[in-house]
Amino acid sequence: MSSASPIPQVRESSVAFVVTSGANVGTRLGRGLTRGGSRVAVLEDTPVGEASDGIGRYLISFASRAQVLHAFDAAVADLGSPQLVVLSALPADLFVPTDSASISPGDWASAVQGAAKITLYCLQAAYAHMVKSGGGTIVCVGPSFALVGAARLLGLSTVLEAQRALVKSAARQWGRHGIRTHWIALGVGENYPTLQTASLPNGPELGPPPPPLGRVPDFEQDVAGIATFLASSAGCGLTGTSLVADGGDWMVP
Amino acid sequence: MSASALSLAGRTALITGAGGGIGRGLALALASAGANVTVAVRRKATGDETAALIRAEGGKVLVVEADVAKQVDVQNAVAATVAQFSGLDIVVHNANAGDSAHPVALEEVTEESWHAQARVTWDGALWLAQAALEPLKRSSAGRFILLGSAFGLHGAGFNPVYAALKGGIKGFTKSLAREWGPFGITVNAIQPAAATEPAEVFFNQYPEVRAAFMRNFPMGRMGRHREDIGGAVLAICCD
Repeated sequence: MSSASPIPQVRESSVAFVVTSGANVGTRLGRGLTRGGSRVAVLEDTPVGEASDGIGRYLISFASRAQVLHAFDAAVADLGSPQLVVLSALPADLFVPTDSASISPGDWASAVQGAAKITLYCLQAAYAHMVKSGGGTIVCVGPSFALVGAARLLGLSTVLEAQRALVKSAARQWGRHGIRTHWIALGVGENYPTLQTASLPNGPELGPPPPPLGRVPDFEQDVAGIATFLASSAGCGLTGTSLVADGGDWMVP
Repeated sequence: MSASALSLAGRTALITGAGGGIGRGLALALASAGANVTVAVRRKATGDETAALIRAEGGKVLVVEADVAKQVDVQNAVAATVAQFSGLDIVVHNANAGDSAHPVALEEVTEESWHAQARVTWDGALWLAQAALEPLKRSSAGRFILLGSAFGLHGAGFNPVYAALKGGIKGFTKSLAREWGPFGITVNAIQPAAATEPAEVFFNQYPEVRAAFMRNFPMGRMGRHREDIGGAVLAICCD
């Protein structure tokens, strides 16, 4: 069956932005994307280090849409419009296991609504530049347990599934502009240290971990590689996907 | 399944957003199965209409005025239910913000418009869970049910905010189900594609979309409030 609308060709990724919040994820993702051939800007709300190894660093505040746009604009002024934006930025409070009955209105508002705002503003900032430059790829990354839920992580479970639905909706709206959006479910392992003490569900297999691949994928090698693929012409037929990078723990859907 | 297995006689249900649409259908379905029903509504007049329909069928009903975005309103609704019916067994969070019917471009979504919908969908869910936990623990058959949407599963080009918030309900449900399972309380979500009032508003604005959209459904129609979605709720609630 032929398609009336051909899938648009994309430029190979040459400028990639990583948007992150603490935890030094930006450095790891930045190194991986640099090895994949991209010039990389890391936009982070906590300064971790100076520009090095081809990675530019930019301070970002998630307090308002204008401030997020300002940080994107600064990075674009130096590197040009991104062909790839990887977003891995969630408030730290979301990762602290808490009984649902103990969540205060203030904590719920700051962490859950705050996380939603971060995602919304970053998607909008990426769109603002990509729509002018002919398109691009946006990849959100979150812990894989979101697919099956975890007790005492109500806010994080809520936000991650919302983010996944938002990414699909963005894919539906922005595909005509050549903008493709994805969500990567990353195994916890050492990627999310604060979750290591949480009561997360094991995979469905009888018996203990490790996952079939014997290791939990990481930001630097695996997420960077998947994101580079998604942003490349080889990945241009995909949008709105949820890719599970957990070493084969869940194998869903 | 036997008739007794489908009976909710002696049980009490609280439903948010039950002044019309799906919520009203669920209230009627639960009441017809024998449950005492609290209709929690933002505008009392709509709750009174639902109550009249329930009473006409011989059901027992309490109408409580509550804005689910306000924690104290939700606490009061639960307390009033327990006081009136001596317990609470079933909670259904169905309330939804009216903005969900309007198409919106994601790049134009403001914090204010997001928050207005999130306060009802997400905040309301949390306030309800917190207020209902202790009564549901005391029940021998505690049920907490949330209304999501098919758009929360596959995204929505017409309203990304609505899709995201309903997607979030999916995560909320799975997390709470794991937390409350040890208490004997089940937590489930229903993701309907229903002929809701917001859907009708949308189709009235974009009539050309209706016919094309209906072709997605093998049965040629969307879920009916009382019969289809109410049926799913009864299946979750009955023994």
